[in-house]
Amino acid sequence: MTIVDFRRPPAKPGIWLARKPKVRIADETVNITSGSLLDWPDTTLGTASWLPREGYVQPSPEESGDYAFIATGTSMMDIATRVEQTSDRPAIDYEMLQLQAAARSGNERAFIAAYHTTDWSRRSADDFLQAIQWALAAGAHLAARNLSTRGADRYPDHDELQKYARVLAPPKIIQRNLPPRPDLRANRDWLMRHGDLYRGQWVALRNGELQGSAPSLQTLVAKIGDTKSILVTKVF
Amino acid sequence: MLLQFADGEPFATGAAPYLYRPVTLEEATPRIILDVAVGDFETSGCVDTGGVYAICNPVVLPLLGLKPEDGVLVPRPIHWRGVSHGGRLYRVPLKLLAEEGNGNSLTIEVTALIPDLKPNEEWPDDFPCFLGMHGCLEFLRFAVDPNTDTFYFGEFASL
Repeated sequence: MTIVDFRRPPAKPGIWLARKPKVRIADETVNITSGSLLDWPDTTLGTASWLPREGYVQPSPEESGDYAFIATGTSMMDIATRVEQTSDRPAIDYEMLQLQAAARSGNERAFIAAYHTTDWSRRSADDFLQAIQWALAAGAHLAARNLSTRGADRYPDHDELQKYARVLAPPKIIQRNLPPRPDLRANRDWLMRHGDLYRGQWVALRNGELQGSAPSLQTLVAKIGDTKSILVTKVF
Repeated sequence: MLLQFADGEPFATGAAPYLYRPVTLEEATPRIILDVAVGDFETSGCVDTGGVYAICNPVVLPLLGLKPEDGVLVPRPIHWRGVSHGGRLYRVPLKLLAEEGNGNSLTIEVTALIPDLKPNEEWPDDFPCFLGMHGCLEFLRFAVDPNTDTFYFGEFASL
């Protein structure tokens, strides 16, 4: 039997529950056998903080096996961080599973927590790509940017990671001191004066004069052809 | 007149009049609407500081010469203004247009979500462009004068 610390996984990282694990929690007052950690109640096992449920994943069939976990401790945090594994099956990537679970539940905070506890120094380019996708799914947009930068630095020849880093990079000024537009106010004034007559319509304006209108943008663009120096907008 | 810090350093390098109107037929709440150019396509952009990225009508994709493979697939719909949108993130040039006599225009390269549409499908919430904070306006200085409906903008991060 091997004691595995979830927060500091061994070189072969992480483990997770099998399809029907046997779990026994020994606490001062509680002794439960459960089919899944997901079945553990949040509130009956002491007052310590319980890791968010979103951090745990029901394994897919190929990840399942004859695991048995016995966790003991004086707090839920303690229990959650130590389990025993009784199988020789390959370990499951707990770090990535946590990220995936956070993404599936759209839990940005859980994703950020998992992101910070993951050892990215030994992650593959594919892991970075997957994690960026999960970050976007979780709504962790800054983490997605940081992961893409980190991944692109680590794998400079990986085209896809370079693309992700380019697309998700912080905004930057690329041209300054560009000439102002003389007709902004004229177009705005037209919209203020005539907008109500065109509500719901797309309009094309140049120098405060209507160049065309249509019920859809595609139709209007097709109608006026070249849109250069023409304001194309929808009126509400 | 453009805004300055007390030591004379410019806060804003350009300014433009904005429209203050709703951006859907269903809404009555007005929004700040600027004239912007996405690439060479001049259109209206609604300032949405609670949003992420710029969100552009899919019609700009061919106008920018972009192809789906240039983008990063968004793995789940982005819930935005009560509507879910799937799509891709692209890097696009966004020009903030200054009014003559009020400084200069400025182009920033931003991250934009452009929804994927099937042929003959229209983007349901079809205001041309929304300007979110993360990935779009986050490194700009900007200020609003509701007395004159003027939007001031300036660079914060340098070239």
